[in-house]
Amino acid sequence: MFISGVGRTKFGPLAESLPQLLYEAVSKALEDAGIGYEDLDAAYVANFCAGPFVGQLHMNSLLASLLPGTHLPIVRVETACASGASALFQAGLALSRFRTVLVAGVEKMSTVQGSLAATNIGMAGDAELDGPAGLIFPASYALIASAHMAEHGSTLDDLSLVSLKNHENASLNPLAHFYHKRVTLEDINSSATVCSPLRLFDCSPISDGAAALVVSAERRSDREVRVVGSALATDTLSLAERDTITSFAAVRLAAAQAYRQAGIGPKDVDVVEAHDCFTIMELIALEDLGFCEPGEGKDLVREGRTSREGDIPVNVDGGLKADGHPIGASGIAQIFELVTQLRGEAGPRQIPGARIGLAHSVGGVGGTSAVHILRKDN
Amino acid sequence: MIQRCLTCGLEWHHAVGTCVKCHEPLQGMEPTQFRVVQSTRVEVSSAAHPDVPYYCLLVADGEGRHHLRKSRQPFAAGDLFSEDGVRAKTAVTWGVIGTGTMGTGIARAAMELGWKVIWKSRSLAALDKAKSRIRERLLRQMTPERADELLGSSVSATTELAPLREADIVVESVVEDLATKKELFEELGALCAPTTILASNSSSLSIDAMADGVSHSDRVVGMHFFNPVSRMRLIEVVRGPRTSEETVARVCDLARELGKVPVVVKDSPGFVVNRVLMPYLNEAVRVVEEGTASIGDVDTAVQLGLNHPIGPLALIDLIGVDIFVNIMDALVSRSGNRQFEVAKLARRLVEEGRLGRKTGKGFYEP
Repeated sequence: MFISGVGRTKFGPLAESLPQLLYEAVSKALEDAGIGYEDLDAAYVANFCAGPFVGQLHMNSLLASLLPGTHLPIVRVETACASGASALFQAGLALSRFRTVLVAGVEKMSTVQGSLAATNIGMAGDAELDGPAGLIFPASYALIASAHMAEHGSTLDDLSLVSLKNHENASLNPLAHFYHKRVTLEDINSSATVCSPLRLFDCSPISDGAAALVVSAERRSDREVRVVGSALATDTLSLAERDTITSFAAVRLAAAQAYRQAGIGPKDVDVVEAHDCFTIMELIALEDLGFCEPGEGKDLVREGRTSREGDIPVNVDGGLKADGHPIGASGIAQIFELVTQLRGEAGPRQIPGARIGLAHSVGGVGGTSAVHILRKDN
Repeated sequence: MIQRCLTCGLEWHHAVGTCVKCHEPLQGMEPTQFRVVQSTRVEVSSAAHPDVPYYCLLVADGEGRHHLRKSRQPFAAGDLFSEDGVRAKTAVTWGVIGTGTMGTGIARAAMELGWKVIWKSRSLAALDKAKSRIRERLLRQMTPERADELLGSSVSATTELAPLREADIVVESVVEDLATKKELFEELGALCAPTTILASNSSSLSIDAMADGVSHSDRVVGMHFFNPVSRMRLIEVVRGPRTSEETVARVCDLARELGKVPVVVKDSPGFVVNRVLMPYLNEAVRVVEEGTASIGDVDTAVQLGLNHPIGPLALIDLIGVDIFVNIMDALVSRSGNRQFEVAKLARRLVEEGRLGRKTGKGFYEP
């Protein structure tokens, strides 16, 4: 599978509607691939929550409306926050039958505020096991963070460092939700508690946005990036059903498969997109993806190894934390960033000589995980 | 509910019935004793959980299986947590008198924290009806068996005063009539230990007048809950001239344990909320009376201009026009201040039997 074209909108609270966002991302991806929409053979549209957020379901037909007259086979993919990455996984399978497939993800969330937004996002949890206990999404990750701190000695200061780094990275990404926001350690440390111990700056924001990819069975040009690993694994929906909550089995399984397909190991990866929906997740991602041993994620962060100058740059675009988290688009935006980095087109945030990139996407509290490994052949 | 396959050992947290692997019927288990593994204090509300903060607990049962629970009280890792609800840190026995909306709300709030409630009313039928209202609410969270068990173990209903001698605090929510309340407090004063707090949920009567003639009158205090008790977080703790600091402090602590926010006020007409609310409602009636604007327009103006969830005239209909007039009259008689004189239009509605929602007609007609 080759990524022939990438496109995305700005992330953040945006004036554009769900179809407008989707259209913009798709148009940019087609333009980047240098093909017309009539060249597409099929499409997947990733979306988590347009039902409760904007009252829109039947998303595949919405995409058909934006590609008039094509009557393409289009299917919506929903795996909570991993929807975008799961759509790419699905597109990879579809390439056994189709030549050129569009993968587009979109979310429109900023129109809904406060408790209703928390309720909608909470639909990624188990309605029977988590719902009555009041386990909204940040509460799940707060329990995970507390457990990780108790088990491995990671601290709130480590989480602050993750937040600070990702905000700094976002200030180099004009499309990021928080491109214009300057964030200091003091801002992070003095932010309000959302679910103890997690504070506002440990949480990804509620963003609007869309991102799209054109994937091809065959190479079209020398700008193309090859997907050398694509794996998806699942796990139970509720934390209650897990023995351990400080590591995600679905991530470890998907990562092992993707590494095997790519014929590489963690040491070979030049740039990482990790699913930092909450800062604690970036530490756990480093551990589950094999960049360090369990509990050592904090050390990589403390030593600056995950910064742009470090040996494992993580979330150079700002991550979900600061690039933004329009849920259905996030997993595709990760691929957008990796492709941009591997092509050497990332401008001031370019990681010099990046050749292999890894994207880690997680739905809910690890109920779904998709891992992709991308390589640029010269 | 956990279901386990006795053949292969697979387990489900959902009642799925048979094993997908062995096709054997599953064994159901419902653990009730847990140890807290992790907890988080949730500060943001969601539709199903509007009242914050609350605590989400990851707990482990005897076999180490994880479960999720909600609590109003903080727990530390390692603490014991029991399903049948010793969710409150201290054991307190409550006496509740009255089975109206407020009495029922207070009994339910205390019971849900795992406290014992001795519930007194003049009639057993009223008690049965009030208990079944609580049971209905419990059924949203638990099986009928557990609801019955919980009600049975925590609530004892009585038509006698004598059982209230076991209570650590008695809250009365009987009719707003000073003579009735005075008599009740006198009897309770003689019956209960001197340390038992005697609290009134009265919204308008003088706490000091109620304390008159009660033995150890320093434990008489106002504990003014708001309707609906389950949703409204304020409790006005009313300190009479004789009420001791210790009594006020204990009631404030209990209010906090209930997840409420106590505000201490002097024994004065209308305390804070009604003192501020009632003249505002009265002014709205006067505006209508003077012909400045129609009933609907007054409500629309206030709702949209002040961002109130309900307009003043619709609110009077909800409270009851007669109750509104009574409270205004009480404000006048207790303060001697004519500024609280109720608008004539409200009195006329009462005379016409238009008492608001409860009679179907008030300021508004359906």
